[in-house]
Amino acid sequence: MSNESNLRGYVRDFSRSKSGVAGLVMLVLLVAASIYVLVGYPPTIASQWGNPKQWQGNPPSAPPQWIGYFTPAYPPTIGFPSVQWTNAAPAGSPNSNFSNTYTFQWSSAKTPSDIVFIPRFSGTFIEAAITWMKPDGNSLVIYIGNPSSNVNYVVADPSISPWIQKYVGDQTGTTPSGVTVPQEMAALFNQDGKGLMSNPVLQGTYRLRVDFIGSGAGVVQSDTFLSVNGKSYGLMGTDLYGRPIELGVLLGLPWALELGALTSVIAVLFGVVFGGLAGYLGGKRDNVMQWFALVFLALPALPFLVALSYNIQLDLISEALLISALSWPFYAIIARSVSLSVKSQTYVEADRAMGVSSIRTFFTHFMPRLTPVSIAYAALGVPAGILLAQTLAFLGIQPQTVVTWGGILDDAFVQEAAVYGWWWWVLFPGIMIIVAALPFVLVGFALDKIVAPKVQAK
Amino acid sequence: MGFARFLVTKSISYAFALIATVSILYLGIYGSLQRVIFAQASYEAQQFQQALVKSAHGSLSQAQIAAQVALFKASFLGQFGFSQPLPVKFAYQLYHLLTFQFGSSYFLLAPNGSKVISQIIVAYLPNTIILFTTGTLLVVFFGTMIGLLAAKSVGGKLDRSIPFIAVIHSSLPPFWVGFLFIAYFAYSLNVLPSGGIISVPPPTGLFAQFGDFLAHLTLPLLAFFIVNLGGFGYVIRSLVVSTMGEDFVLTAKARGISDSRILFSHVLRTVSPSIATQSVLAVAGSFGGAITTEVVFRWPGLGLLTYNAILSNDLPIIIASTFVLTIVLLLGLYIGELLYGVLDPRIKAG
Amino acid sequence: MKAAEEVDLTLDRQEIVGLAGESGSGKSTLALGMLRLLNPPGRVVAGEVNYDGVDILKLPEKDFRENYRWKKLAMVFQGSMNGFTPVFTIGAQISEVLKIHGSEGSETKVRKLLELVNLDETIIRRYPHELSGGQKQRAFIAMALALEPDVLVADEPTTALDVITQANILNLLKSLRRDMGISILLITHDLAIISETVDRLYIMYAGKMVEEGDSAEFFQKPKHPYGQGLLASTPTLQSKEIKGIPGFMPDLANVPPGCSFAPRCPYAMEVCRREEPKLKGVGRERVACWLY
Repeated sequence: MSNESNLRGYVRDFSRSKSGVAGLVMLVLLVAASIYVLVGYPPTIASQWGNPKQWQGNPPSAPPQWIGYFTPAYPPTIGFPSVQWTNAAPAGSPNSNFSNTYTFQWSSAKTPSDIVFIPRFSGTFIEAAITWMKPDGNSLVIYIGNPSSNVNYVVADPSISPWIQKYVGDQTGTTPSGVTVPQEMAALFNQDGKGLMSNPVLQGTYRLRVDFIGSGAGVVQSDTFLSVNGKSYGLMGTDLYGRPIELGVLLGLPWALELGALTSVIAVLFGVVFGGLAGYLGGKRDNVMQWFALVFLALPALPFLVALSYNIQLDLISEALLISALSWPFYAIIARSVSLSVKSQTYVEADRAMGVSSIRTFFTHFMPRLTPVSIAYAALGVPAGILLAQTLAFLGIQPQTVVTWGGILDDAFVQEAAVYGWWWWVLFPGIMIIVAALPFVLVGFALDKIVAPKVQAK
Repeated sequence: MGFARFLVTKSISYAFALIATVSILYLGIYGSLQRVIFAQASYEAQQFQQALVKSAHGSLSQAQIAAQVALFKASFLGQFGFSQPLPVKFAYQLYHLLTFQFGSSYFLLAPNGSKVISQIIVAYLPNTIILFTTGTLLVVFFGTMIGLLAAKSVGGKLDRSIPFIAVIHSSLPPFWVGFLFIAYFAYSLNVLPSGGIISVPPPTGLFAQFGDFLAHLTLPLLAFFIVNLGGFGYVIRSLVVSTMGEDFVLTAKARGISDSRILFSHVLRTVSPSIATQSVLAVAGSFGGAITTEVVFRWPGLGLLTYNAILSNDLPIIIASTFVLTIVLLLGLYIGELLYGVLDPRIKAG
Repeated sequence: MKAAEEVDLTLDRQEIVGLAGESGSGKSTLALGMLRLLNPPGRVVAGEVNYDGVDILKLPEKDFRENYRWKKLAMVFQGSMNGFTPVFTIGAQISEVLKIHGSEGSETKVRKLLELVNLDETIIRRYPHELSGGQKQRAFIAMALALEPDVLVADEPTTALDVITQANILNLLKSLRRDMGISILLITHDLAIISETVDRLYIMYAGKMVEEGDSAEFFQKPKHPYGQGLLASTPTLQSKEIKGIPGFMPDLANVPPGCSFAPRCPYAMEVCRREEPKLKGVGRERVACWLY
């Protein structure tokens, strides 16, 4: 039996398993997504995630945008891609004028809940002028003197709301003494005229032109932020802090996969060699090794890791090692029983009779027979690692520098997401855990089915 | 006679394993444990000092009091082998652990207000036992049924859905299922309580109280059951299927025994030691996962206690609780092995 | 893959017939097929098993199970197999067989059966693993006799047993024919066993019958080259060397055309490689060989 033909046989058998192939495809997609995350996002993104202030520009606790198909009560949030701001002032002029026009469609019958503008620039600017142009042609101008960088300008900001108040007065004839945010939104989005405040929402193309006027070397950065915040956001909504769940879900992927894979590989490698050796050696040495596995088997994984986390700083490697240290006995037990059945089939006794060294025979002749089973269980072991790690994260035990789905769910739980009905905060991270674990389970089961009958054949 | 020898060897083996496992636990928590003991010593010393001052009525000087307190503290620490070399220290502290002398907690209290950890644990442990033993029994019963029926119709509809169920089991995060259940059944549908073990204020009358308890038990039990059923069913099915391939099944058929009798009598009896072991393992193992389930459902058991201890940094409880759970798991493994020996005549009859 | 093809086998009352062949020749499969014990993917593709005029292959499962299995046709399995369920006592299992088929399962009856096979009544409370190979085999035969079947199929009943026990079992089988009038189909690869036990024999090779007929005549003068080779390779007390038949049995999934034995046959001719020989009468035997 050459190894070559075995491998081809396995591959052929595997390709016949629909679920196995499906799992493999999912796996490839997940890995591709992970690579995308690792490459496309700066390493600081994890700490940004942990900083609520970063996300104030988004509507908090907003359900996913597609909820709009079912109910009109949640107008969408409109975001804008980053822009290269250019200096529109004529060359040679001592003044600078950075300008950009944002355009968007508004088709909801309800007004957005807020508009957030966060200018980011270096240097100083004397003035920022925001021109709001409605689909019907009306417009109003908002002047902000001495704008500050990295500040959230919302409609309720004292430098903005007076202008909207004035607009209301112009349209209706009565200038109110103060305006609430919903009233300001009404002013910006309703049909104009005397009945501005009670008119229906004007749907169509809105334009927002922002001019930064400076007298020196100020430069407007491309990460200047604008968002027209509805009551819903994106594909998966936002949490209490405005963090997009879809981003959290994506960011959690690489680490989850890495940890699961690492844990599984270490545990299976050690467990299979250990268990295989135990079955192979038999006798007293087998008994001792079994006892040793028992000692580790008896450690309850979750509580032990919890207690340990008080003494050990967790990072990818240490957490993987710890989890592996607790899971290897399972693989050892399986490997041992496989080893025993292989032993009953082969020429091990002959080798021993000829005086060939036991340990060497083990590695050259025996281990290859255990390899297929090992691979099957390596696949099956990943979901266990993923689940355990996420469960720990749910309890607050995880490396500080990563985003985890368990961690997101922990926040959801602590913030009583169930009580407030923020189902998207709970649903999507959980589904993601399943999505990450599922392909490994499918592949593992498929492999196991192929491998197992060959092992048990008498 | 065979069984007696089996019993003795297993018991010795497990006694040693107990020491070994607890030692590993000890190594892992060594730092925290020393801190806890030291804090305990300081606390006790403080109590002692106050009592001393009261009873001395001013007859002792500051220096004398300080000296006596220092002596007290040293002797307390001495009980834990503090200034001794590591092996001795280990022996002393291990002794305290094995005799369940955990000392007092930092913050958390037992329902009766006591800070003594063993009392606290004794107060909360039964709830964990009730929830998880019941859950596991349900899983074992239905899982065995499903496993048997699936094996009976190998390749049939039920059998082919078993892998699916098992797949789901392997990828479902238990705490998330609980979370969703609460969101849906408790807050959305409002039919079941969202957590805890009893309503506040509790209803009057024994019947109503029991009914209230059952209502609270339902969701966590259901979540536990759904998450674990598939895995157990799959294991049983595999066991049964592999047994069905054995010679004696063929010969049983040859001598005219009906298929269903073969399955439910011969095969079942043959795999029952394994099932028993798996069940015991399942119970013991379920305690380990108790933390998350109890947290999500706010079920006042050992798991929730541990979680609260985590939140309030109550190290002594964390250590004690981890230790208790380890003992439970070891006990489960031990009972499982013994049970296997009892049920399998090949071992019992020597 | 055909494990057995075009096999025609007859067993008369109070006859002991032998079925010989190497491992893999298809004889066990044949036996299992006869008792409808083949597990998928194996199955009986074509043919009939005529029991006293009834084709038992076509009977509904329930009918066959209640009226024929063990009642009329019993089977004794290979000595190395676990015939008994490991978790029940021998007595319980024999008694179960009796009760299942409507008989009384009393301890007296069980004891009587065990007596038939020279086993002590202490066996009743023993578990299978406590018995020696020979004891287990005899107990199983006792269980096979429980319903007084007419036909006993013994598949390698003495394999993995020591020579003394072998002799005991064979004598037992002979006495069963003599005292209880049971017909026995003895399946084995060991010609030595066949030589002293059977009246007639069949020899299978690669799933086909190659020689059949009177046992005495065969042992005096085997006709088919395979039969000759088999006999020659059976060691006797005097033999100094073990002579085998060169080559291996063909893979039953890929049978070459012509006579399946041709590749190993010392007398192979042109026609042997082209066409399959059919059974022809030669003396008091029938042989499938182009030599005749």
